[in-house]
Amino acid sequence: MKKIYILLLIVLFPISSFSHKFYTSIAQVEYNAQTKSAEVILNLFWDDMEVAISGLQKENISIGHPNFSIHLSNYLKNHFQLKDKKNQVKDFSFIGFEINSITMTVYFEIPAPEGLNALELTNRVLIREFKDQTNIVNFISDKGRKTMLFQSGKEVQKINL
Amino acid sequence: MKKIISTFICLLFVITALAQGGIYNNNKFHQIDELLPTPNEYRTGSGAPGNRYWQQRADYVIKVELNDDNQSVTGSETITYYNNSPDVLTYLWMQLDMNIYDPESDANITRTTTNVSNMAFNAFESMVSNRADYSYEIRAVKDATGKPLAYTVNKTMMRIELPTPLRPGQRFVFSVDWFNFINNQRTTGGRGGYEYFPADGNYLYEMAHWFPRMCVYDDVNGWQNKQFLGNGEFALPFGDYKVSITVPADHIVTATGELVNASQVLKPSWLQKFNQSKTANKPVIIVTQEEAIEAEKGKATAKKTWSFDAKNVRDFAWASSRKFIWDSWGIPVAGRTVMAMSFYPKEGNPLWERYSTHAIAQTIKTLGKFAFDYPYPVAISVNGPVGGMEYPMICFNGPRPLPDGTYTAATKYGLISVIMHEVIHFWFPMVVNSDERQWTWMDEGITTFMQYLTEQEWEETYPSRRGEARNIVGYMASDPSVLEPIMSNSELIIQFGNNAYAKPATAYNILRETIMGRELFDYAIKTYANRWKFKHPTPADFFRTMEDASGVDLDWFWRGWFYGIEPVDIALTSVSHYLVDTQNPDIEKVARKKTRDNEPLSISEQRNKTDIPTYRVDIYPELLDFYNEYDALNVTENDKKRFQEYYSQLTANEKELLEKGLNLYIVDFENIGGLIMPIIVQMEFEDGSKEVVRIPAEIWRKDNKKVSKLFVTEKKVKQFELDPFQETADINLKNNTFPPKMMESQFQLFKQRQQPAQPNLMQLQRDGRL
Repeated sequence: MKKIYILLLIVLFPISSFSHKFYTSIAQVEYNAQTKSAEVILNLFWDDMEVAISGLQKENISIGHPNFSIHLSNYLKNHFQLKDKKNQVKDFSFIGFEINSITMTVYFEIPAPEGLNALELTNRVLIREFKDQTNIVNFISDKGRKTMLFQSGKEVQKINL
Repeated sequence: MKKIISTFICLLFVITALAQGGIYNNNKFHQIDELLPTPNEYRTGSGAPGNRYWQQRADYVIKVELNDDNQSVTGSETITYYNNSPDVLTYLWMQLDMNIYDPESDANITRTTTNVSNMAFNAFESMVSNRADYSYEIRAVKDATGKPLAYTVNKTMMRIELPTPLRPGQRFVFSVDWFNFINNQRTTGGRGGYEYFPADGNYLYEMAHWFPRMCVYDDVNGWQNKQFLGNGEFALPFGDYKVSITVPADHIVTATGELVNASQVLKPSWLQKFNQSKTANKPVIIVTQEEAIEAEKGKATAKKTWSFDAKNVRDFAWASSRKFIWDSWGIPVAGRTVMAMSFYPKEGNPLWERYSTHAIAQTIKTLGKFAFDYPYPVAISVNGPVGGMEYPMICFNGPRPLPDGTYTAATKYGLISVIMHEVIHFWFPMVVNSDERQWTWMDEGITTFMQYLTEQEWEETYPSRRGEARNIVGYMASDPSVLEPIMSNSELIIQFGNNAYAKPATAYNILRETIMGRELFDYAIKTYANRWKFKHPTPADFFRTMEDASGVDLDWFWRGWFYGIEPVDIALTSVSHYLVDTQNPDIEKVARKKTRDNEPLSISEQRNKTDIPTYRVDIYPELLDFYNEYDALNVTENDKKRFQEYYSQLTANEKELLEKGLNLYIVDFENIGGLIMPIIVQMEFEDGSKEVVRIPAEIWRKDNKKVSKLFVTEKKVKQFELDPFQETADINLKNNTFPPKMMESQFQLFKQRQQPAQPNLMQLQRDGRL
């Protein structure tokens, strides 16, 4: 067994945050056979998303900010990705979001004509901002329930339905 | 002798068979006796404290000084520990929670983080910002005469050797001196710490688990000295506290308990306004924003000591800053006046002066109804770096408006909800003192549930997040690999919020609305709260009380919701329609004939009609005989006679029943998810009217997988729908209707709505863009 030594640089970006007691998101992914795309409903704490976006933009972007939707869409494009077998990131279509008390529900879809199986899913939503973040992705299919868990160090996984 | 041996062997054989689980009862309704501890004199089978119930007690006298220049505290405490147990103790255990900030603590060293290539400063900072000097420097542990006591620090726990064994009924007085730097909450996170405001150069301190605290010793755990890893909060005994807090003279201090030297530390005008606020009809501002801004500009070198008394509490927290604005409002509670108060920096306004104290007042009102009257003299909400955390009589809450003073509806309701949540913790676990180190769900579940009840009394359309059954579906639909039962230790949970907060809260909501009904549930949960106030309940005490007080056997419910991870997915699989046979040939034969004649022709029959122009019998009519004319469905005189004979024998009642034209539906249900739930069926009739039938969960008691139920109606049913109000957390609505109804997905519904983004309406209004 060869021991591997790797030297890498850490890229840091600033954010400031409130703390609450747990960091989590839960996504429901359903494949729409008619439109041939993955329909994603993502629930997360909106205050954490404000912190993440404000940190990247280096200005205070609250959910009431006129450009919040655009920033949110860009953020998710980079943090919730499907890659095909040729390692190409698939298109991402942002639908919108709604607020429910302390959480937000975000809707987006990702066209995938070949189906979801064997594609690579990256979910690093809030993981690099909050060290305790865990993200659950539930796939809805006729074959039963399938869940993938994403957290720091486990941000990219192959879909196996 | 031989005989005895063979009996013994037989017996062994039986025991082995039992152990192999061959005859274990897997029915989901079998009692949960083997999951619960055996009742005893301390904790009864009814769920109430037993006749020999006991608990320890620890009284504290604490002197602490805050150093605002280097953000540290120096403290000294004298503890009187009462051994009310029947046991002889040879050592005591104390909690050193601040030691969690040591880079070498279990919490830090067992953290599994592997990807650091691209991360936020704060996430990185929180990994490297822990400091050994945030943890306690224990300077002395002495007995009442000043003689040093031997002690051993085991990470976040400290064992103190008793010079002589402490017998039942005896007390032991000892003291601890300590020093530590205060953690920067903005970088370390956690349940307390300081916040620095660069704009004015001031600090705001929220002081939590800031002194060495006694562990709980009880009949269930012995010493509860499980290490502090961060998720499992606190297990603490009750006692009286006298705490003197020395701070810079221009600081305002608030704490668990009553301020007992107000005249020494408050300006006369503040004291006068405070007294006025006791009988005011709305919150009164004691320290104004102008005064707070003025105080921000100076840095007092003089000191002041604030003294607080707190009786029968399980912990003590405080907050201090020269930035504090203070408002106060006396709330009448059972002939007493409870002071609801809020402390916040100007950064919290205008949100805080508008909502914080009102949120406290509403919580006191709602909880008085559903639990018991608030027993303490003050109820305090503080704005600082901590997002939301509770201590006896005082809680820390984070939300603030934007720097321009506007805020979104989400921030407003987020603030009101978090204050309600943390104030409800003043009941659970601060008074109903469950063990948070072991079971987060015991206080968080009931608090989240009661938060829903409190929010709903604020305004009619309050946007509550948790409580409604349908909101838990996303979590419950996950596959078992990421789920664990509610009955899991606080440190073993992957989805902390969903497992320990939302799932039990939803379970209580379902018990209240769907399984027990509001009257039985409210009585039972109130009984639990009152039986265990100022005591230490365990899960079994809760489960047993809920059944004992309501007369509802909920063992199946606890097993499914608290000890299991299965979701609810009940399917309405098929419907068979039966009509009563009147036996009247003029009705039945005619109807059958009509049915037969209306049967569609097969494709061959249709084509033959045109392809065969003449049949043989058309050419040779003599081939036709009796059988060609006979129709078994023609009504004969004999048929009528037989019917008359049958009918004349019927009683009037039987005749009426026969002629009512009833529809009988046999509906088949399948329990796909596994979790047992009542069956709620809505029948929509052909005329558009509806009827809902509610069948208790016990319908599944003999077959946990499949049941059939007969529904008898006068009108014909057009549509059956299972769980029409989505009250059972059924994760799959697609199999809930018959005939199957096309269902729009949540995704498609949202897409069609084309919801606009949620703007900051206050800002738009201010700028004339609304």
